[in-house]
Amino acid sequence: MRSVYFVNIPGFYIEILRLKNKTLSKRPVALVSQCVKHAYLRNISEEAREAGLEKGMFLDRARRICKDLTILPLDSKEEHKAFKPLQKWIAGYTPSWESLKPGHLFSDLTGTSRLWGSPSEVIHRMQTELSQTFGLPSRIAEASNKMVARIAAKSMPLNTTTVIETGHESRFLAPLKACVLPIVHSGPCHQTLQDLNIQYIREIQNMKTHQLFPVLGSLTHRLKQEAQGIDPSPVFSPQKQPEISRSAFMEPATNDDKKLLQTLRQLLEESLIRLRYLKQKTKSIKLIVIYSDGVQHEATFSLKESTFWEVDLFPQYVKLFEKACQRRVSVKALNIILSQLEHTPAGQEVMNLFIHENRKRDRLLKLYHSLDHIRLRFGMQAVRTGML
Amino acid sequence: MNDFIHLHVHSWYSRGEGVNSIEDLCKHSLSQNSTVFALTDTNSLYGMMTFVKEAARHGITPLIGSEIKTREQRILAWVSNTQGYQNLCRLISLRHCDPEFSLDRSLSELCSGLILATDHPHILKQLKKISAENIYVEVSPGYNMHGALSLSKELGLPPVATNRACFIHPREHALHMLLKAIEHQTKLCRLKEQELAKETHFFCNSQHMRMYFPHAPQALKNTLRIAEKCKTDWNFSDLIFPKQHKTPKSNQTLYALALAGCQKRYGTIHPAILKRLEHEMHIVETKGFADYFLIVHDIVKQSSLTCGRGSAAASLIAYALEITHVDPIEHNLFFERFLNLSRKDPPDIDIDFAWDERDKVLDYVFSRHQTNNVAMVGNHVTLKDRSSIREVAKVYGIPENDISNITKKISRVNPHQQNDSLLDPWPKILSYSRQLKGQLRYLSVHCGGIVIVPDAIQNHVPVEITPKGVPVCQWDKDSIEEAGMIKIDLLGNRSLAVIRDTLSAIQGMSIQGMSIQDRATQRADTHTLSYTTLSPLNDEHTLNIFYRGNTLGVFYFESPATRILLKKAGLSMSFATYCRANHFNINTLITSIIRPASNTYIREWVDRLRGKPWQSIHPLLNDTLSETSGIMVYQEQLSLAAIALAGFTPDEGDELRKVVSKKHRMKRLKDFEHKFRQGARLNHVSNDITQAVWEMICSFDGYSFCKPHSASYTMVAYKSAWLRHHYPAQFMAAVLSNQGGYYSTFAYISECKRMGLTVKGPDINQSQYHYTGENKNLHIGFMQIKHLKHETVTRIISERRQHGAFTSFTHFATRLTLETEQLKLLIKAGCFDDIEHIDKRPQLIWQALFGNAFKKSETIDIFTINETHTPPEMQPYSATQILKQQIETLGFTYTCHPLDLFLKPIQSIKNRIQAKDLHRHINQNITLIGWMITAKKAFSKQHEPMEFITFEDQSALFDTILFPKVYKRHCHLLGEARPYLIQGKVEDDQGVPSVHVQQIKII
Repeated sequence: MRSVYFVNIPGFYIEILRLKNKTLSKRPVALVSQCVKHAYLRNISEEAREAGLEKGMFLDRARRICKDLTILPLDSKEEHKAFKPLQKWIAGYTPSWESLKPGHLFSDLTGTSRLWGSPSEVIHRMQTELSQTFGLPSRIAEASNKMVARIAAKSMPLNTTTVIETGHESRFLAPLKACVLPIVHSGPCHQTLQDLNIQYIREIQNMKTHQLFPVLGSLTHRLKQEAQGIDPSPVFSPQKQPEISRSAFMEPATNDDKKLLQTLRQLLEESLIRLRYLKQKTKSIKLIVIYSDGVQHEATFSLKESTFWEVDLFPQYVKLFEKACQRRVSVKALNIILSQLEHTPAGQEVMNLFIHENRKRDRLLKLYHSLDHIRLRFGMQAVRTGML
Repeated sequence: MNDFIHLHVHSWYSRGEGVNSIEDLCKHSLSQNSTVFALTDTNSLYGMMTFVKEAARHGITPLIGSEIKTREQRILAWVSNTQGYQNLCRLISLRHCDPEFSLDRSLSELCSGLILATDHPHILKQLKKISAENIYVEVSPGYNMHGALSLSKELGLPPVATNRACFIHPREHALHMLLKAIEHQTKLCRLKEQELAKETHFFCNSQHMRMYFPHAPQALKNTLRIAEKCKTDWNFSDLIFPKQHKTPKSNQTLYALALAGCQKRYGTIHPAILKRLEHEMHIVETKGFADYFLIVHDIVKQSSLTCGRGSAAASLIAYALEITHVDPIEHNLFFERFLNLSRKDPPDIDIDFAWDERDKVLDYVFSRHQTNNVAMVGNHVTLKDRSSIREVAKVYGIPENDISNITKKISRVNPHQQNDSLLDPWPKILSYSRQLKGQLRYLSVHCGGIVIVPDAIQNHVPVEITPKGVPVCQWDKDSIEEAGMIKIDLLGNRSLAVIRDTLSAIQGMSIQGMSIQDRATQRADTHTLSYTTLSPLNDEHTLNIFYRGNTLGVFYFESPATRILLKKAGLSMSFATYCRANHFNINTLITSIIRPASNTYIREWVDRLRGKPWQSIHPLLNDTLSETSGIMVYQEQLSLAAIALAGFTPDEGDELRKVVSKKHRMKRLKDFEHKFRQGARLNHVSNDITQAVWEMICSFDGYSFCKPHSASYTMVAYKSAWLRHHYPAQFMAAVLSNQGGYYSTFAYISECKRMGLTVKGPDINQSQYHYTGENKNLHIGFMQIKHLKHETVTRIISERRQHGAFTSFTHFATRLTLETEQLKLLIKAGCFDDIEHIDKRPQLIWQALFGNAFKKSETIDIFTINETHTPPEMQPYSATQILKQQIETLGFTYTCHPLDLFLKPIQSIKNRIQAKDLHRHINQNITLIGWMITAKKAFSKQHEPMEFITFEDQSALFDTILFPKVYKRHCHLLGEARPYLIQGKVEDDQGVPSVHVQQIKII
């Protein structure tokens, strides 16, 4: 039986800031990347949520709703830096851990009960360590898979823990609202469930597959699985993530192609540096453009040969952008996903048969190597690419 | 003397290019000591009449031209004579109407009378082959100037200098870019440089141009040569009359028809009628209007339901020909307001048809006359307050919802007020949109104007083709009138359709359940009913509707202001007195006095109606103003007052009426004022009285009506009111079906309930496409279900008619294969609640999804083999979900008032009263709950914004006023369809209670 833990530190960076500044505790706090009226709330504290604020809300509106709101700038670099010790901490339990964003950690401790004790002992220990060593509040849940552990943790109050015993997943999920299941948010599933007045997971559990299949089609199988508490997805270690994604919020939202292309290039550059660091190459780039009215458009580009070099991808990104961004509505966010990753041991570069081109390429690759070194030492912002 | 004339100038009529108005261009030209310039808008003469008028006003010589552009080629064409003007009109028309238009081919046929210039080598070579005379090479800085000069030398054609001006100042280049982005529906960063004018392409002075042409002074001189050759004597004083085909003796024909018509209308023709007829005939003959009357008569015959309106309703001939339906003699209508011997501008006849029959009538007109001779009048759709904000915001990438939120907010606040709360880039957007106000956005078709000319219409004005294939003039109605073309207004009127549909419903209504005697009476009653015979002027029930102001749904009388005034008039006398009084005249007056021209006198008029002693302001005005209790209400009273008091001729009186209501009238109005004062002095009228009457006259600069127009519509309103009382369900069904009233559908549904009708939801076996009414029931039609396709409804009704009612959802689904989404709409709208059960809605949706999935896969028919596929048990929707579905599918709730959805918060509000009890709380501070029904923004005497808002609660409608201070505080809360908490003081406004709001909150 699998034993997956989900550690959730809500408003992670806010908690980090609170550790530095005690006056922030128990006050509604929101993080924005720039302190301008049209900035979006990137993260909020529990107190802010209770005051009626939501992530993604305009700062201006949030201030009108919550007069006592403390606004702080979100420093992603600092946030990631602060999250590193936690990653190190969870890695002390198992090499099989996954972190998609700061404050969210999955760890797979299957077969380690003799080493670490029973799940309830482990989660208690984890919470104590988080509280005592790091001074952070948390919600921790243990279950037989990622989905149930995550739902369980998210449905609990702060500083509590829970263990969902194997075989009890379905019973645990039954009284919860159907919208907590991840599949409900994909495609027409949510609307169909609303039309059928299916509000709780227990109703999905009670329906037979052949009753659901004609109305939900291919989503039925996964919906039934999720409603029963089944999630076969493994906990991916950082090196084994199936894709790399980077996103950027445009603040303020803009429809200026120049600014958007600049940001996209930066995202691509960051992703490729990460790929090189992981010694992985990509064969597919997907660009998702999120407009300020919520509409999303995407475009994908597949490469003949996998790569992690700018020289191979930069000629394509403008075309990719033109394909994905055809409306004139301002763009709120850009998201780039590099997938179909292939592990490439060092030195296994395919040589170009044309010597002249080879030399030119070599020079460029050397340049990128040097830039990588500078960035590794002085940070991503130390060297920036300009556009003519 | 300037040594350069701008011959290539674009005004804001060049879409996506020109920035400035013609008036600004004229002013700017004068400021540069240039009294000549050419207007060359792209592929159009949209602004020609404005240019001629503005040029005359500013002392400028207008040169008329156009830049004809195709994707690859372009040429400038200036008019040198009448032939050239006709050719330019044809050329532009071809450019718009001929999909295979070729500039060089068309020019080879239509170049005579035109002076042409281009830098396109191929066209120049082609034109040179025909004649080198009047052909120039256009040389402009920034457009391969040296190449053009070489071409001029190479071809031996003279060069002409232009600056291709798109704006007055270089700083307006940003606006030019915005316009281009709006035109191409793109964003600024995606504009192509070659499509844009450069900052240097402005309306510069001649010194600036000399700087560019030190090496080619001839190019500058040639501008003067061309200007000398251009036609400048534009005269539009001749009227262009339509010609009735196959009627050689139109005067005699018209007289005979009018005489026969009078016989039919009056029975016997009294001398007074004959005298009036002959008087009118004399003027009509002298002015050459007989053909026009005959054409209108011919058009009117195409429909049984028409309403001639406007000043033409003052004509006995029009009444006799059944163009209008109000007796001008009985109602004392002044014929000279329509036509008099000295009237120079062409009066038109406006005819209303049922809105859905108008296209058929237009088709008839196009088929009756030669297609080449007829065109619809154009309508210049320009950027207004909201549309300019919307368009600029789109260029800046603002999403649709945000734009709507801001425009709604802005429309309620004072536009002069700074909006500090707005985020970037809104301040910039608002600033640009203010500068772009008035820009031509596109040419549309005027709502009813049609022009018939004796020869090809392209000889008079360029024509375009609408997407529906209808030819439309490039000029708007003002330009058409100024050019002397006589238009006929054929307008769509929803109220006529309401009357038609109600009559049709009455005639076809079910007589089941009636006694034999009742059936006979009913049949006799309904069969004699028709639009023309329906004459309810003496029906007490009808009069009671006007007396009490219960006119919701009654055309022309349903706005809050009119209803309040009707109530005030009603309170002036007992109902019996009202019935004996000239109520038709009172009601005609009410619809006119509420217009801006005379609404300041409403209180005084009501007082006088209630017996306040009054005297005419001067004995000379006794006759003119007696029927309106000494107050100037109708347009023609203005003319008549000037005639009576200051000795104006009828023509001068009519001219004064027009000048008062026009823009740029200052000088002419001063002249008239001088003449008026002088004339009054000669008649020994004191200065005070002269001043008071002059002020009354000047108040007509606002919107006003003439009596014939109001009388025509009042007659239609009486017919509507009769139907509202006697057949309320059928009448309200027709009002809702024709969707054309003053209020929202929800407001009419509420009124139906107040009228005691039962509103029934859409039903798969009962509902028709439209709303239907029977006895005391109103059935919501399928038309009300949002996104339900017309085709779906047609199929349902046809299937039901052919094979009978549906017995269950399964029965329905086996008989009709519909898209899942359409089925879901029907279920959510409650169409199957009667044959299934309201609790089964989720199951029906499952069945719809399930059945269609199987039908798609073609493996099994779930509706026939369903034993193994029984629907799962599902929770019925809650009451709130059902109401949400009503709002989602119909747009409103009909099973309860929307305020019922907020019972909890409403119940917690203490000391609230109901709207029906308002009259018991006069002079008291009260609290009310209301749902907004309609609002009208107004301005105080200090030009501060305020608003009149009508709300309703579960008991009644009530009217409120938000004075400027309160409005300023609360305007941002208004506008949404939601419940409001209203606190204020009840004031007695001449017997009618209204709430002066002190505070308003959202619940």
